[in-house]
Amino acid sequence: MLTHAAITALALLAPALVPDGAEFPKETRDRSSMYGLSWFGGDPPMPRPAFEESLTIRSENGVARVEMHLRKQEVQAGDQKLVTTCFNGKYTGPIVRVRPGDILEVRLINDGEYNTNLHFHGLQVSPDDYGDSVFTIVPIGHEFTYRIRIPEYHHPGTYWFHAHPHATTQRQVMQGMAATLIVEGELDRWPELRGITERNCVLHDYQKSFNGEVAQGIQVSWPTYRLVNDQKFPEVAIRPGETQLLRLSAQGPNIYYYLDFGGEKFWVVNTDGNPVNEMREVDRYALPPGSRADVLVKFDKPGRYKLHTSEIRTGPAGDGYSAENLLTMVCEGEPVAKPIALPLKAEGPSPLRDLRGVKVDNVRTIVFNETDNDFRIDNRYFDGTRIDQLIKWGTVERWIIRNSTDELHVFHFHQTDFQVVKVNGKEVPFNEHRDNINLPVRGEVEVIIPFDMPCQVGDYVFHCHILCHEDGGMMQKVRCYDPSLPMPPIRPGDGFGPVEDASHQTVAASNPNAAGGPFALKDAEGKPFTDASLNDGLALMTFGYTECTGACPRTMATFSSVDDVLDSTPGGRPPLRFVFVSVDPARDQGKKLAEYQAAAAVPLVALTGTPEEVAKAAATFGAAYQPQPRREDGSYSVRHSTDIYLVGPGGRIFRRFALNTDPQVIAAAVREYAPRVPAKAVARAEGGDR
Amino acid sequence: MNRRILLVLAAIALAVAAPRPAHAQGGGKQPDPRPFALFRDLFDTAGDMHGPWVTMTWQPQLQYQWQSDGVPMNNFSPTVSWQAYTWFTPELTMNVNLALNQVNQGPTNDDWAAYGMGAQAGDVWLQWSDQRTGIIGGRYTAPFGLAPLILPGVFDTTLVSNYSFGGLMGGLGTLSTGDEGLGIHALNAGFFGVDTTFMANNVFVATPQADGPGTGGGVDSWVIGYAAENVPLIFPTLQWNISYIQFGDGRGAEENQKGFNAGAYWQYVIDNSTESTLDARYWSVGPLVEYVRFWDSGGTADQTTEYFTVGIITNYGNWQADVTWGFQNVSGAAGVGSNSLNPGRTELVTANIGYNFFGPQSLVQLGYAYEDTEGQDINHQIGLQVNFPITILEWTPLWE
Repeated sequence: MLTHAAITALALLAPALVPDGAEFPKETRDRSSMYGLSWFGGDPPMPRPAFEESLTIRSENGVARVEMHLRKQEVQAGDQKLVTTCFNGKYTGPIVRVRPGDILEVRLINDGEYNTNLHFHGLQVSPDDYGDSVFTIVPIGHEFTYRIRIPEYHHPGTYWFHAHPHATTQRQVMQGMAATLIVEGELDRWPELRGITERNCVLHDYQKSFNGEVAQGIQVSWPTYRLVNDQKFPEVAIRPGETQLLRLSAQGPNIYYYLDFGGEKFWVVNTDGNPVNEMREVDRYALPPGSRADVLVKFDKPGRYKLHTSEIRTGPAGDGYSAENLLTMVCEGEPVAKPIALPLKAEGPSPLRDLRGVKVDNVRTIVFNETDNDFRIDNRYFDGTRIDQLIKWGTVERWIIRNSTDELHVFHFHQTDFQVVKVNGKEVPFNEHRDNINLPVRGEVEVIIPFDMPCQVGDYVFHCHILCHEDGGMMQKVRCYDPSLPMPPIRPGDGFGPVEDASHQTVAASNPNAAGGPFALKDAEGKPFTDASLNDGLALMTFGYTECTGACPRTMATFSSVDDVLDSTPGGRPPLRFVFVSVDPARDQGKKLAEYQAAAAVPLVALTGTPEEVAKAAATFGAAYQPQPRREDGSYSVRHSTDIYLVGPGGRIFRRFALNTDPQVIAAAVREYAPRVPAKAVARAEGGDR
Repeated sequence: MNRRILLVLAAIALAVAAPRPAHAQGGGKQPDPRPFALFRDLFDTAGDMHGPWVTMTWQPQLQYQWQSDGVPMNNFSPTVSWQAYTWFTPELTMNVNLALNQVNQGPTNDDWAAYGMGAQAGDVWLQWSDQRTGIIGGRYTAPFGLAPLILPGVFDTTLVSNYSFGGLMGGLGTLSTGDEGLGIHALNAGFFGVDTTFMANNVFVATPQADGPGTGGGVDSWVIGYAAENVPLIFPTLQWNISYIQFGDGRGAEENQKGFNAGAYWQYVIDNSTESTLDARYWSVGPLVEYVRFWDSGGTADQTTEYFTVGIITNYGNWQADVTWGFQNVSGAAGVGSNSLNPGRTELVTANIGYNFFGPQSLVQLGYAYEDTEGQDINHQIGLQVNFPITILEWTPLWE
C-alpha cells in the first residue's frame, strides 16, 4: 500500500510526467491547483468527447417503467475503468422522464453486494413502503418494485433517485447507485423557451482506491475524479446567441460544486425541482451534494466556455477539493437569427407559495452537532426506531436549523420542500423553494415548512446530505401524523407501525368479519359486473380510487408481485382475476377507469357504480371510505380501507390480507384455494391476455 | 487481584450490562409482517451491518524547536500517535491510543534529535453511551480544564498541560442534555487512581515509577464537572467548563491535591457565508479565558498553584493564528516529590500561525514563546511543527 507521503510525492511529480506538447490548459494550471497537484484536479491531456447523455426512459400511457439491475462489475467511467456496484452496467444511471400524474414504476433487482433501497430525492410523494420510503430494504438476491404516483400538482424540474440505506448510503452513492428523474414541463411558464435544447449534466465524483475499486467513503487525501454523465471533459455544441437549458445535478455523495463559466452570466430557472419565481442571473452558483439547478446558458460570441468548479473548502474542520473544468461549451457556427433576451418574465402566476406571511403553528430549533468524526443532530445519532420530531399534519412550521460545527452541512428534508426565509439572521427574498440548503459554519438558517400535502403524512427523515455525515448519524426521523386518525404505534425493531395505520389515505375496515356476497357494479365500459361474474374462479379484490397516491399504487404493486409469483407455480398457474372497485364514482367513470385499468401491470378489472351501488358493495365486503373536504383547487382525496380480499364464487371472501402482506403469502393462499373453486379457467380477457 | 483492576473490571461489566434505554413507545419484539427487514439502529439499518466498526488513524508530527535558555539549542522531536476506535454496537465502543514520542527530557544546553523516545499508552477505555448517559471504564483523561483542549499552537499548552490529567484508571459517568437550541450541558463524575500498572511504563526507555498525588494504588481520587457548549447566550458558540478534582493518597505526597477550574471560550464569527467558506474566506475570532487553582498542589502541604490564561484564536480560510498570555503562580511551601513545583511565578506569552493544507490534510505551524520565571530565567523559543493525520483503516464488515 502506498503511503501518504508517496502519494503526495507522486502528485508533485505528476506535472513533470506530462508528455511534451500535450495540451495543459493555462486556466487549469492557473486556477485549479492548490499545490501544483494538477494530477489531482486539472485537465489531463486527453481527447475531449462529444457530450452524451445517459439512456432516457420516457413514460408511456402514463406509466414509466424502469428496471434497475444492481451488480458489481467493471465499468468505464471517463478515462478510468472502475470496479463498482452500480445499475445496468453504467456508472451514471439512466434519465427517466415523467409528467405530473404519471406513475413511476421502478423494479429494483439487487444482485449486488449490499442490501439497498431507493430514495426519490425531491419528489413530494407518499413515504409508504412501496413509495419513497428509506425504511424499506431490498436485500441481496431480492427484487422489489417501487410504484409511485407523481401527483398532478407536482412541480416540474430535475430530481434524482439513489440508494439510501442508512450507514452505507455514502458508499452506495459513490459507487454510482443513482439515476436522474425529470418531471417535465418546467419551461412552460416561458413560452419563448419552448423547444430549446436541454442538456442533462449529472455531476459525479468518486475516489478510486488502489485496487481499482471505488472508495467506500470519503478519503480527502486520495485523488478525486469528476465526471459529467460518465464523461471526462465533454464538449457541448452551442451556436452564438442560442439559449440552452443545462440540468445540473450534483449526484456525488459528499462534494460541493461551486460553478462558473469563467465570469459569463447564466440564469437559474429551477432549484431542487422547483421553478423559481423569477429567473435569477448569476455568474457563480454553489451546488451542494444532492442539489439540482436548472440553468439557461447563452453566449453571444463564438468561443470555448468552460463549466468550472472552483477550489473549495468546507470550513476549518472540513475538507478541501481542488478546482476542475467539468465540460466545455463550444460556441461556434451560424449565430441564431433571433436570440432570446434573458432574463424572461414568466407568464401566469408563480407555482410557488410565498410562505413568509403564512401563519406559523409551531417553531422548532434543530442543531447539527459534530465531534471529530462523530455526527449527530441535537446531540443524538440517528436511530430508526425513535421518532425525533412529531409533526401535526395540516400545520405550517418554522424551523431554525443551527450548525454548531466548524464545517458546512446540508439540510435535506424528504417528502418536503421548504422556503428559506433567513440565513444568519438576514432576510432572504422570496424566489425559490428547496429540498437542500447549506448550513453556514457556526451559523443558522430559518425555513418555513408547510405540512399540508397528503404525501407528507407518514414517517420519513431529514439529514445532512453530505452523505458521509448522514451515515455517521446526522439524521433524524420525523412522523407527520393526521390528527383525525389514531397514532400508529412504534415497535422496537421495525421502525414504525403497520402501514395501513400509517397511511394518510386509509381508514379501518368497517367490518373486518364481513363474509362478502352479492354485489352489482359496472365495469369501465358500463357493462354489469356482479358477484356471479366471479363464479368461475378466484379473484383478488380491493377498494380504492384512481387518483390515490398512497395505498392504491402499493396495492397494484402487490397485485403485480402476486401475479409474478404465481407464474412460477409448479403444475401451472392457478387462474386469478384482479378486481379494483373505485369508491370515488363521481370521478372514476368510463375513460378514466379504462385508462387506470390499462395502466395496471396486471390484467385488471376496474369497477364502479352509482354511489348507492358502491356503498352497498363496500358494506358487503366490510370496506370503508370517506371523501375528504375539497381543496382550494377543487381536488380532494378519499380515505379508504386497504384490505385485499381473496374472493371466490358468489363474492364470498376466503381470506383478507392487510395492504402490506408479503406477495408470497397471498400467492400461497391463491394456490391453496384454487383447487376448491370450479376448475373452469378464469378468462383473463377482462384485462386482456398477456 | 489488585483492587484497582477489580474496580475497573466492575465498571466495565456495569457498562456492558447496562440496559438499553426503552424506546419512545411500544413493548416487546413482535414479528415483522413486512417482506424485508427495516432500520434498527446506526449499524443495523440495512439489516446487513453487524459491526464491529473499526477506524484506525495514525498521526505523525514533526517538531523543530529553537530556544535561548542557557545556550541556544536546536531540538527535533518526532511523534507518532496511533488511535483505534471500535464500535461493537452503537452504544458500546472502545478506544485505544498509543504514542511514540519523547519521554525523557533531553540534555540541557545541547542540541538533540529524537532524544529519549519511548512508546506508551494514552487513553484506553471501554464506553457505553446513548449520547445522554455514558460510562467509561479504563484509562482515561479527566474532564478538567478547557484550555488544554482548545488551544492550538506549538507552545500554547506549555503551562496549561500541567493540569491536563491523563493516565487515570477508573470510571467516569456523564449525563448530558440534547441540544435543541439550548446547548449541550453535561455533568461528569468520575473516580480514579493514577495509573501505576504496566500501562504506565514506557517501551524502549526506563522511566521512574510515578509518584505524587493519587499514586497510592487506590481508586480514591475523584472529579466532578459541568461542561456546556453551543450555549445560546452568545449564539451559538459559547462553551464553558467548571470542574473540581481531588486526588487521593500518593507516594511522596504529604496531602491530597485539590483543584478547581473555570474556563470559557466563545467563537465569534465575522464571515461565515457559504460562499466565503467555499472560497476559503471563513473568518472567526475566539477569546478564551481560564482560571485554575490547586490547593496542596503536587501533594505539598500548604502549597497553592494558580494558572490563568487568556488568549484569542482566529481562523481565516486555511489560516489559523492565536496569541495567548498566561501565568503559573506557585505560593506557599516548597515542593516535595519528584514532580513538584517550587514557589515562583512564570509568565508565558505565545504567538502561533498555522496553515492547513486541505488537500494532503496537513497542518504546518510556526510558533513563538516568551517565558519569564521571576524575571530571572527568560527563554525565547521558536518552533515549527508539521502534522498530518491519516486514516489507515476504516473497516466495516458487511455480514448477511
